[in-house]
Amino acid sequence: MLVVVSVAAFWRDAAPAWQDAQEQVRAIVAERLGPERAADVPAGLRQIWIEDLDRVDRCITCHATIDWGPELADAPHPARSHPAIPWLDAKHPISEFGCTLCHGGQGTATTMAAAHGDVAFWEEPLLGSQRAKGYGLEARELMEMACNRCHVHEAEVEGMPLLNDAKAFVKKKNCVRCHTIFGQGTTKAPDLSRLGEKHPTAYTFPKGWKNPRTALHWHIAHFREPFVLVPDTLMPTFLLDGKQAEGLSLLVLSWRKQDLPARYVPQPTR
Amino acid sequence: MSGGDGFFARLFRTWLPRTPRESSEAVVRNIWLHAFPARITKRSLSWLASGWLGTVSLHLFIILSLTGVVLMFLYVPSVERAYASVKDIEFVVSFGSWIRGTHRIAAHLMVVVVVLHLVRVFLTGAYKKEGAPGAHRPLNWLVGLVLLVLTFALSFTGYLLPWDQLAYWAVTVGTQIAAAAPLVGEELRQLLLGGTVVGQPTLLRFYVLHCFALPLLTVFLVAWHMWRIRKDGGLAVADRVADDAREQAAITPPPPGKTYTLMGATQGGTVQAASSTGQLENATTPGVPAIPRRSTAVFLAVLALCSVLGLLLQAPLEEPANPAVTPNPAKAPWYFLWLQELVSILTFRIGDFVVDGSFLGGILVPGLLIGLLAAWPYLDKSPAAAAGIWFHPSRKVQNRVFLLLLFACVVLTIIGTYFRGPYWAWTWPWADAHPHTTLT
Amino acid sequence: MSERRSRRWMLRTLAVGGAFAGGLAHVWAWSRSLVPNVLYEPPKQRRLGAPTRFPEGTTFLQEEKIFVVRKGDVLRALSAVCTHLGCTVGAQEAGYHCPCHGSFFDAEGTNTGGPAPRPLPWHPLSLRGGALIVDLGTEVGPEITLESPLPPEPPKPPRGGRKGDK
Repeated sequence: MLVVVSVAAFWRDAAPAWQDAQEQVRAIVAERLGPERAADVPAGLRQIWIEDLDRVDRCITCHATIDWGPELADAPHPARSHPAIPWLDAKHPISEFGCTLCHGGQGTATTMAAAHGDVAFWEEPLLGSQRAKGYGLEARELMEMACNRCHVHEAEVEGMPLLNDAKAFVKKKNCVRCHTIFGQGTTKAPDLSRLGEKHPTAYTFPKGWKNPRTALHWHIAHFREPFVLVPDTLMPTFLLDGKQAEGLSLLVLSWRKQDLPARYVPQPTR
Repeated sequence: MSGGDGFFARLFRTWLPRTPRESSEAVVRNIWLHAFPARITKRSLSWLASGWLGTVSLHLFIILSLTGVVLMFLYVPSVERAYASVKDIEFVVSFGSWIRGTHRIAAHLMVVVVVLHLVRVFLTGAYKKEGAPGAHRPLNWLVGLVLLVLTFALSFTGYLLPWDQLAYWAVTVGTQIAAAAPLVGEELRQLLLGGTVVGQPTLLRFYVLHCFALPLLTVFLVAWHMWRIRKDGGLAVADRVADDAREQAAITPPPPGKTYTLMGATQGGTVQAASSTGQLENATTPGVPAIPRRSTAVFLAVLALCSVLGLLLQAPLEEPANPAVTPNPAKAPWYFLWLQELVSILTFRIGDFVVDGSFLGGILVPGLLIGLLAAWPYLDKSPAAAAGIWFHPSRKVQNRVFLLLLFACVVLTIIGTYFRGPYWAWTWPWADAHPHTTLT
Repeated sequence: MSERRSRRWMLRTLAVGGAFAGGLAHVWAWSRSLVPNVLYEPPKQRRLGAPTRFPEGTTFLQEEKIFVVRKGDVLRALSAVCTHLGCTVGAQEAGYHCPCHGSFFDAEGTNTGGPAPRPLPWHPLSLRGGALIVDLGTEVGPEITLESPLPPEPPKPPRGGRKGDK
């Protein structure tokens, strides 16, 4: 029995899940760019450690060719490279920001389910296209929530159209007439400054709730018809069109305390 | 086994003695074997007499120490790094998940086995005081009780270390119960926590207690516990064997000129000294290699069991500790859930008077139980012949009461573990009280 | 040796051997777990900011432990880690001096005195997206240089200001 266990344990250790993913990447690279390039695919466990943010992301263990540029831009996952975005390389180099800061998910994990956050006890899953589809959004729109955790005090940020609109809406409707947001406003309605910190388990969903139990779904429903979720609410029902409810929900969920080292604080673009 | 006197044969002579003489010499010559008696009764060796539960407890402690030292190299006892270092153990350390799983399973098993060991000793009346000079089994029972408490303490201090929600709130609830102790309760809690809430000082305190102070104390007490067994003349069942031998001897007088082994000539109440008859010799066997051989087999079985379970059952790791969010319900570790259940049952109002359940259930009941257990060897008036015998008729009533109390604890633990949902309300285990809620 | 006895012997050998193998496997697993699979260390390739921040002569970067040496448009990076026992050397007028055991290196990093057994190594520099990159994981000779496309400017605060290098 002891021998059997030992063999089983060694077997499992010898073939971790991420090795299969690296094999996949190598196969895709070999098919598209030739076998000699496949040898260049980095092997072994790799991580991006960002000391200043106290974060570690091991995504590049499987997404090993994330920085290979246009030649793998349309390759299937996990071999696909990161799209070239003008402000990415210059202002958000992967070596200094990692992956999960923008994309969500569990950076320390080395299995797909755990890393993408589709596991119990992980409340912030990957902000991917699959999840975005559930809200009728694109992945990059869902990710604007992550962008705004740092870019919270800017009215207009390039690449964040959904949240730029939401911010304009908050200004136009003068939400601070009742709410307090970042120290401004009144106390007629709850302070929203750190709404994004409210733990997902703290939301109460009404009986017969059809959507997945997520904080974002709760807020979208609440922005559309506040009285349905909070019967004695004072909040008016806005006639929101298109993606306005989604944008506003992402905006309020991005409001949380964020301690950034000085060099990570965004420079105002105005 | 090959004969001859090659190098290895001489090297392992004491481990694999071939003659009774070599057996008794082994105990003197080999430091690792000197803890074992020269001769032991065959009934003491049998699996049914003791279940070898004490040995299993010790082996679990050894496995815990070995895996624990490995984990100490990998774990960082700081609130910033603790959770991440456990994630690293799970995700990037070779065999890390297995080692952690084995450590956890061995810890849970140790609580179970130590309690079963206590149950065995009670049901066989093995704590009873007997007349042999130098023997005083009640003292060893007390040492054992302290070891039981130490086992709980070791397990509980280890519970906090992953610094996840499970750990944080279990320790918050657990230490709150300590605060219900009269007069010094709150001071005791703050001393444990190193402050008023669970924080970095708590983590460091629990770490040092878990990895150094408590294991060290346990090692000393285990040594004492085992030395007392020798001092008390072996397991209680050995006394019954000696009685039988004495009775036999009364019928057939010992052959003249019969001498006994050197090791039997110790002062005090060892079986061997009490009666050196041929009958007794037939009922005994050399301690070496019988005890180390069986002990090794037990160790391998225990190690194999822990390894299998450690491999199959993933040790839990919930979200990082978050003082702002209390999971609903927040549960203490399972072996304290009978206490938490008592606390919740015993808190009720009679008119304006509120019965303080945390004092009754958290302090008074366990305090009484421990006190009663400690005093019981001196209160138990059953005859000496009842010691070492399972369910001796003269101990019927006390055995039944003991089993009833034990049963109550087990039932309360099961209720607390499986039947308590949000707000500590009754929940069926199959009801999905907590669907996973996420941010997006 | 009888048939029965040899069977017994074989079973016993199997049991003892299995126990040894299992125990050994555990000890191996415990030891292997202490060999790190990932490192919590800064990457070997470091961004140093725009080349214009390095004036003529030698600039010491204490976090990267290198000297960036500029001569006109030519940039090079010299390791500041003494080849003797790894202390950080300091720049002197005519070269580099190790405070620990008194090793001397000339301006080209050649060991000229003290116990240092080898010259200080040079690290390759490259430009990516307008930022200077040093590869601390690669050692090159003093002849490897980088032609800076931009002449040095009067000193001004670097982009963002990395922790420690002023």
